[in-house]
Amino acid sequence: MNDIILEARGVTKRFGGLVAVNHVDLIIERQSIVGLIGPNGAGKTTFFNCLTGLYTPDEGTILFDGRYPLAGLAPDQITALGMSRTFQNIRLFNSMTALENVLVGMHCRTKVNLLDAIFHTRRYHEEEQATRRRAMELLEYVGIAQYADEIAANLPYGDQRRLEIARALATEPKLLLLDEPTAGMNPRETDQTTELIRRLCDDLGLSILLSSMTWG
Amino acid sequence: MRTVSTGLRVGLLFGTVLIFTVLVGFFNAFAEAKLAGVSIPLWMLVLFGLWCGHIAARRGARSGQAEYSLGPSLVAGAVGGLTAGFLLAAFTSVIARYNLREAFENIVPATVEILTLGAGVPAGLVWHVVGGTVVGSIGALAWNAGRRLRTPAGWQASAKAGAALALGLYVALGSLSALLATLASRVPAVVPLAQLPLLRLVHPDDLYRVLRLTLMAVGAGGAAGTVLLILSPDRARRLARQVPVERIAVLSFLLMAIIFPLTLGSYWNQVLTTIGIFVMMGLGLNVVVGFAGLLDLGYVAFFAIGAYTYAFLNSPKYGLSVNFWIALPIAMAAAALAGILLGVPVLRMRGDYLAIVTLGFGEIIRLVLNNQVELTGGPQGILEIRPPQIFSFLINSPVEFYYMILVGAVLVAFVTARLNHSRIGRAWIAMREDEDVARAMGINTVNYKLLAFAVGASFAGIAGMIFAARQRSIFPADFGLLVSIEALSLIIIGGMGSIPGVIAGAVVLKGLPELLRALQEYRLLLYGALLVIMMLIRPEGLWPSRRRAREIHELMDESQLAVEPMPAAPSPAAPPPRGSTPREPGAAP
Repeated sequence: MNDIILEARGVTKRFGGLVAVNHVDLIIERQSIVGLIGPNGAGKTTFFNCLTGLYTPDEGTILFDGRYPLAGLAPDQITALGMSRTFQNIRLFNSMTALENVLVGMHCRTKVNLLDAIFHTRRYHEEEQATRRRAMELLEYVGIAQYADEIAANLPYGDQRRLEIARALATEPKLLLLDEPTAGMNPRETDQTTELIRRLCDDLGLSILLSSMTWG
Repeated sequence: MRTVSTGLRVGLLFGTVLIFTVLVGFFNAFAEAKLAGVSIPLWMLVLFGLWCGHIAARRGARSGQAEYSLGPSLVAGAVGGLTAGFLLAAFTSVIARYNLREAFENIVPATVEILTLGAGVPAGLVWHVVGGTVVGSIGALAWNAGRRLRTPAGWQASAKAGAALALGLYVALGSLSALLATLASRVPAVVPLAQLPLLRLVHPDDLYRVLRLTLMAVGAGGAAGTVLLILSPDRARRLARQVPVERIAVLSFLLMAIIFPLTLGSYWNQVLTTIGIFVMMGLGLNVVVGFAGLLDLGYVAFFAIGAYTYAFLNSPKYGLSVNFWIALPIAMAAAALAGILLGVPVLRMRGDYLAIVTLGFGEIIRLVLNNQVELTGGPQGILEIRPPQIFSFLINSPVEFYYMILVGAVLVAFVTARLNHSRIGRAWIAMREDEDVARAMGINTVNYKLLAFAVGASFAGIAGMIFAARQRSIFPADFGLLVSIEALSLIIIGGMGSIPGVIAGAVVLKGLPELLRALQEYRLLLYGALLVIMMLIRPEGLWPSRRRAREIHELMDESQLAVEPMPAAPSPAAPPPRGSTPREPGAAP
């Protein structure tokens, strides 16, 4: 098995005359935590968007998991391959409960189709039960199980970030991209989040790319 | 002093609006019309007075002291009513003396009579001033009563429980009466039973009576619940806990929908059938707009495709006669295919742009139907469509059509509900909330958009098919833009994304104009007014989905936060107040 989860070569993204991401090379090894540090406007989020398929890079190649070139893939296909992310400005599904948010994250790992849903086939019942159980486990893992039925928008700020991580974990990623996971947090929350990220890497064997404005 | 000036301001506003409605001819148009035995002009004057008093009282109380009190609000209401009445009296005396017909065509000699309710000039003017004051004060009192009642916790619960019980009782009796009457035509022995005075009283053979009795039952039950609360709070609270309000309400409406039409007669069954068709359309459009968040203004196109498919398959013009059960999937598939064909080019569009493209699509379909004369008969339409035959049973009368549509609408509602509570429904809602994030979470938005279009369109296809079978002849003019707008309006009025909401919206929007026959020519005015009022006082709809209500109220709260500076700005890290129920730390599963 290959030791490199992600290999980006010469990734470039221009918006008109503005070069937001200029020839970035990046190699992420399995089970490692890699940081991307730079000030506001450095292009960290743009680079994340290039990796996850929300933007199409103008130049360069991205090889995921040693096998899959990501060029031309849609975001949902990339997620299905095993890359997931959180957002710098928290973007939860605000009218849904915390649990439902995680359930949405499980979308690409579930199979219920139109007919299953209409006729409530056995597959529907089994899958719905299994996904709900798994979602609860994830909420417990990030430490917000008590908010399962709470509306996402009503969660405390730090817990919203945790929920975003749980939702990203629900897609069963191999590589997790965290866009400024500690932005706007107080020192205590920052410590807790750092601890959580470390656990993600050590317990779950995830590779993590995180961006931040500061060391720490 | 401040309360008086508030009353003056509100009164001037209402007086001016009243005069405006006179100038546009509203009063002349409804001079003869009556609603519940009272002439419409009197209704208008009284309602305006009450409303004026209500608003003035609210404003007056707010502009006065920090604590509200009865006195100032009553003064404001009375002054408001007086001012509005005085303004109207002045206006009436002016049009009685001078001839304004040159400038305002709606001011005719009869207008004075109408405005003074037949009392003539000097007496009528006194009536305006005195009546305005009295009615304004009553409006202010009503506002105060509302304030008082709101204070004891849970009064709404016991009132609701009482209302639900009364409604259930009425519906049960009405159903019994309808069943016995139907049975009596076959079994003579039941006739004396069906003639019982109580059962004759609730016999649902006239929708006006059904509506009146329903309102009376709900009102009386609610009042009884409120009285019980005042007399014995404990008992009222127990009642509120024990009565399953929602279940009774749903069951009552189901019974009404199933049994009452037996005795309603063909005219009202025709109306109910129209409502049913719009329920189906609304449920389909709800999938597209309410769940998936794709604003579709050309929805009528799929309705038309369903209708024309059935017409092609069952009209002597084409020499075909296809069984209903075969035509049904063909019509659904044709509409769903059209939905996908529309969906593909608009995949990348959002919001306003999507609305405009779909609007164009609807018009294109209508124009094609209108201009392909050889194929569709053009403006002459397709005539002599065969009514549907289900097994050996020919569906022909309005009652039979009603039951067919009831079954169809229930099935459509069932499918929609099932989809909503599945992985598919969650994907749609995620997509509506934030398309980019939905994609990043692994949802193939292309497929889900197309699926939403196809599902929504196929429901409209069924509705169109039944429409064609009922009308027996269809014309391109039946499928104008207005149908799309009506379908969208009923979703918004009912509550977007909510299945019972869609049904409530269809009943209100398609049933109300029939009940208010006297207002027929003002139907569109009513439409607009209803939409505006709804959006102002209940933006989430009559019966919103829980999710939608949350969203709307969040938005409102946010905009209020932006306007009113908070006493202490919450730091981003501080936990905002959560739901109303406090949660035990250890209660988590």
